[in-house]
Amino acid sequence: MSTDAALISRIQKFCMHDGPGLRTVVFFKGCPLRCAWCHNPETQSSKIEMMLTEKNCIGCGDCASVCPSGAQVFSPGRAIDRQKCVSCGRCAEVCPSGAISPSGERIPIEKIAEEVLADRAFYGTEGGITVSGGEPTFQPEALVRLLEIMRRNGVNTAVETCGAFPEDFADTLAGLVDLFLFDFKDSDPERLRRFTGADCERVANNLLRLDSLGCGSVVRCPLIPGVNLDADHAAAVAALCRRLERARFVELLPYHPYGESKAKRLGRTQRLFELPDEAALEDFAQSLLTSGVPVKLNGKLRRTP
Amino acid sequence: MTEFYTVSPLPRPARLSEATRSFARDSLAHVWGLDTERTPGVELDGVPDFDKLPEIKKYDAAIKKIASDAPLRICPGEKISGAATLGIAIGHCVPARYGGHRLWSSVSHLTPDFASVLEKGLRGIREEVEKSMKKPHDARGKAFLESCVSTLDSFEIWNDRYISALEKTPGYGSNARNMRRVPLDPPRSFYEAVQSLWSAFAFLRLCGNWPGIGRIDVLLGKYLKNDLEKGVLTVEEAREILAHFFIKGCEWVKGGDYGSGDAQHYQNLVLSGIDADGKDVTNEVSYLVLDIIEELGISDFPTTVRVGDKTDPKFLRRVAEVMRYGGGVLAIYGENTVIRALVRAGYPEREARGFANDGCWETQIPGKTFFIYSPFDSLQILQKTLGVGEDPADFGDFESLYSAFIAGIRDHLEQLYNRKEKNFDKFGVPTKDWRWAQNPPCTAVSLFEQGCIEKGLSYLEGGPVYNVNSPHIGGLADSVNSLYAIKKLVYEEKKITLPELVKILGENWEQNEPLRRYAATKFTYYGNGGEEVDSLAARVLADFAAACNALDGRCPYRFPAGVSTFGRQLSWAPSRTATAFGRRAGEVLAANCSPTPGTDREGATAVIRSYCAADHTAFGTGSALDVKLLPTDVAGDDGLDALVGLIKGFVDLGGFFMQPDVQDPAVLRKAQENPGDFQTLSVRVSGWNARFVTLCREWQDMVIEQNEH
Repeated sequence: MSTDAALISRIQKFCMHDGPGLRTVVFFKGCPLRCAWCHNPETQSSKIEMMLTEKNCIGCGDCASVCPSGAQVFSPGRAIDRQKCVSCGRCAEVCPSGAISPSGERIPIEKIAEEVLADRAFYGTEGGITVSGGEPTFQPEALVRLLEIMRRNGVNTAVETCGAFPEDFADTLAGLVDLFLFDFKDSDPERLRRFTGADCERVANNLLRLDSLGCGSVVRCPLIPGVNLDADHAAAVAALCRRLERARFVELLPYHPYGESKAKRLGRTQRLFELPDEAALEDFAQSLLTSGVPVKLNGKLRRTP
Repeated sequence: MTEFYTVSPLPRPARLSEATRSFARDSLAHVWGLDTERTPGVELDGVPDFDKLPEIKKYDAAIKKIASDAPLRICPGEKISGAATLGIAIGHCVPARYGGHRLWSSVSHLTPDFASVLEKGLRGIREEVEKSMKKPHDARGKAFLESCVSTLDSFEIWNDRYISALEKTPGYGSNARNMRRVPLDPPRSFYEAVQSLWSAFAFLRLCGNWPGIGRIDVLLGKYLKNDLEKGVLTVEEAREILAHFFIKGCEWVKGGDYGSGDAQHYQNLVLSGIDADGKDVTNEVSYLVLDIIEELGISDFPTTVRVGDKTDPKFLRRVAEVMRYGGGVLAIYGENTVIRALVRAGYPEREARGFANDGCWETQIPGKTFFIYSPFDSLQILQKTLGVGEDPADFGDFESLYSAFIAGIRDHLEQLYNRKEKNFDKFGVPTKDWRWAQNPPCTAVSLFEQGCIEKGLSYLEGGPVYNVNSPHIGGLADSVNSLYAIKKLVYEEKKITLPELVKILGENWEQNEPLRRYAATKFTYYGNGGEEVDSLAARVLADFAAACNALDGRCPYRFPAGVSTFGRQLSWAPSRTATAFGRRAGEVLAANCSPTPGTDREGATAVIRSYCAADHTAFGTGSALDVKLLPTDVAGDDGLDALVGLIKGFVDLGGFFMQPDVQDPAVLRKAQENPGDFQTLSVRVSGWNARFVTLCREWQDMVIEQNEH
């Protein structure tokens, strides 16, 4: 892959809950995992897909007239035939109503950096860039180049990762990142593989390695009822955290079907889980707190049970 | 315990006594405001030969009658006394009638010279009047100075009535003692200083005026410092006293449905910032004001914090903490930009550093400035340039269209400049015999405006040191977006000719939905940090400011440019046709210098960057930006850091005035349905705040729409 550009799904300014201070989040597109509950399904594939927002479609047919592969379907219902679509993007260009948009764009690294630096005045000493995804490390060279530019400009850097990257890449990242927002999705290897495709041992080892290299981290745990919202997983998270020197706290991310509508716009269906109940979340938090692990839940950081 | 509404998940802190909190609750429940409806004003029919008196003597008689007869109000447990109890005053009139008719409108958009009241007392001001009387004045000047003496007499009559009433009422000994001293003489303590400031403010309001407060921490800070050092007062006691100033400031609240809200009396105040020597003035009073706003959520003194190079990070963080409770009570001045703008407008640097506002948000030198503004809608000028709904115009290229639009603005400014017959006798030619027109009497406010006593001229007749008429451009984002869409559709993409497009706009986009959607969704409009459109906005603003400067100096008043709409976008809506950026006729569009609702998609930092792409030092009276935040944006410690970052970024990028409000549109909708549950929910409207439920429906809808992302 070219190192001059990265495949980006979105650059989002004015973010305050993806690392400290005011931040710009750059969503890299492409991910080695396929989490069943993924919040950003449009960032999974390394291919640009067309997203269709049916309610915006005014049925003008301009898209069909430019489509080279006959992928625009108007009956029995509005759809894009994913088998036929070649991702040329012409439909999105001509659509007058914003009903079709591409799920990503290849953007030169310099231009991404320019966008991020545009908001410098707001970062102060705490805020900066958060590279998220998708999985940023899935485009390793582009990620490194972007982080290097940020370093040169004195911008605080955070990287949100699923941890599924080659072990030696941790060494490269360590010098470029101020804070890792490190997902620890499950401690049960079988379950993790089944629901996400990740290798549990590699994820845990990468986290430990970054920690031993002196990197600060926030351990983020998505909690999915019926999957990992249980006492065993809580104990395993606590055990892992006790081995970390520089983890600031564990952030609990209660399941929410945020990804469902976006999956629909991609012509996919996403499995739905139950919404977690507050008591179960609180039990999980208490289990960590009693083990001496600080926990952030619903925006509130606690250090004691 | 008494609760005060907040949009934040954190409850408001409770530091004040329960007695003070329940006093606040009663005042916000419009107990006192409704009281004034029973006593609208005094009747002058009994004054002998009233109709034969010269106008200014009529005024003196009215003020004397008001001072002598207005009902006194002593609220249970109040720590400071004096009340504006006549109902007509709330309607911006001198509360006096003759033959059943009101006689004079009153004065707003000014911040009087309360510093002199504190430093010299009424006695010192009377001495100045007497000194001026010894100098030569024409008949108008002599009559004015006699009126000054009469108005001071009336003030003392009113004050004496309170003293006797308080002395007869058990439990008000301190109030009576304070009023024996102030405002006649300078205060010796913080408590006396607060009473003195309140007395002057309340008397002006009693006479119908709507004064602003100015730099309250500068006015009161030294008295508090002195008391704390001597150990005669605790911070807690000081907070209670100052809280009563804020609570009594809601005495005109009447609840109900009042169009633009029941709290719009232009009584803004200013916190923090530097003094003439460039030193930070922030003191214990600045922090106490924040405490009170945080706890009671009282929005009747909308408060703007000056933030600049010298701002203590600790203070700024405190400001952000209070802002998070929502209600939009706190706004921000980018101090460096404001001072540079005032210097560009012709004020000396040291004077500029002392800036406050006019009681609304427009900047001025407090106690020295006569201020009026002349608002206009730039979008309607563009409509005329294009001939929408009439004869569609054609321009060969974008630059020709642009020049015609700016020429339209220039013509309009010329008209505005010349339309001020009310204030000035002659126009266009500064001649030696130029003089101010005779205006309705307004001696009460003139007493507290530097220049008036010395010159023997009232506030409305050229008395103040500085006299300002400021044209304010509105519909800025809407005009810019229209121009930009035309540039793209007509001159770059050549999708359509200008006359064809103008015809479509005249037909309100009927039968042209695909093109309308294309125009609405394909381009990056003002408010997204897009370089091309933002530089167009900067260009329009610069050309507007230059057109104002070109007129400045013809008459001896200043003509500095400003940017605002103050909710006028609502009254402009019916006169507006469809726009080239895809809006239909009659929509409520952009507020102030903010983006058109619905066109900003990149969040608050992008809005600020778009706004800051223009040079706001060109706007001597100000340029306002609204920033709407959701409670989730500022939740938790992360949210607090982000809010501080947002304010600092705004100031560093050259922002002038920002009014952030934390609101949840869903909650505002609930408040529309169940107003009873949301009596103390405050929102920032524009230069003022309102209790949301006292806005009428169309204003409520506008606020909700502005809050939606």
